[in-house]
Amino acid sequence: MSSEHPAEAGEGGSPIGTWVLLCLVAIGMTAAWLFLYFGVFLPRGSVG
Amino acid sequence: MHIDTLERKWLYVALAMVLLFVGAIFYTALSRGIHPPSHVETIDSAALHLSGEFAEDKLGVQRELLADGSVQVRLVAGRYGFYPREIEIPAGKQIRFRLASMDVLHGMHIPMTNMSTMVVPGFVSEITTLFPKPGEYPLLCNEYCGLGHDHMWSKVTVVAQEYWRAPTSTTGGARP
Repeated sequence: MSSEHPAEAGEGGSPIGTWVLLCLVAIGMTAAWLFLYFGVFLPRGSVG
Repeated sequence: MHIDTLERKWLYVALAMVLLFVGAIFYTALSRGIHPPSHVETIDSAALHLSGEFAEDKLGVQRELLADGSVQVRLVAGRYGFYPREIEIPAGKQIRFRLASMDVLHGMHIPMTNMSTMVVPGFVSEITTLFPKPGEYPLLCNEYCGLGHDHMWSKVTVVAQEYWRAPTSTTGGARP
């Protein structure tokens, strides 16, 4: 039975799951925001 | 302070997103003149009916266009209603709303558009916007103003520019 810490076990490797999660969140949030701003808000006309 | 490499990269990504969003807002705000309504003009709410601008016969869509070609609409909010109850305005043209409250705090909101402002008693609210799509829109109060708040609404009819005519009646464009 290994006593190695999970963080140490992954040290040196590439955390693929984290990168996938990071990319999904960043791309999803950016796309949603850009759609709401440029696709919904601005076409409804200027306001001031 | 030690920050884990992965956490630092998450921070960079979040920061890049914030910069992108703020940059887009600044760019479009400057290029299209978009900004929150900021108009400070006081008025005696208890004497609106005696004032020149918000007297009953001056309400609604105004006959004369403003110098910049926009259409001016005057509305009074109060007693669980907006007056006049119905207005007709052109699509795709700048509309300048001037509003005053005759009693308490109200809000003016037209769903599915960018039109939204507060109507604070003692002040004239002014907001300029345009409606790209013709159609019928409700005009709602979105600030709780009393027991009749949920009945406080009017109707805005947006018609294509070629079908819109400036009002000719002496009631300032208020539809009957």
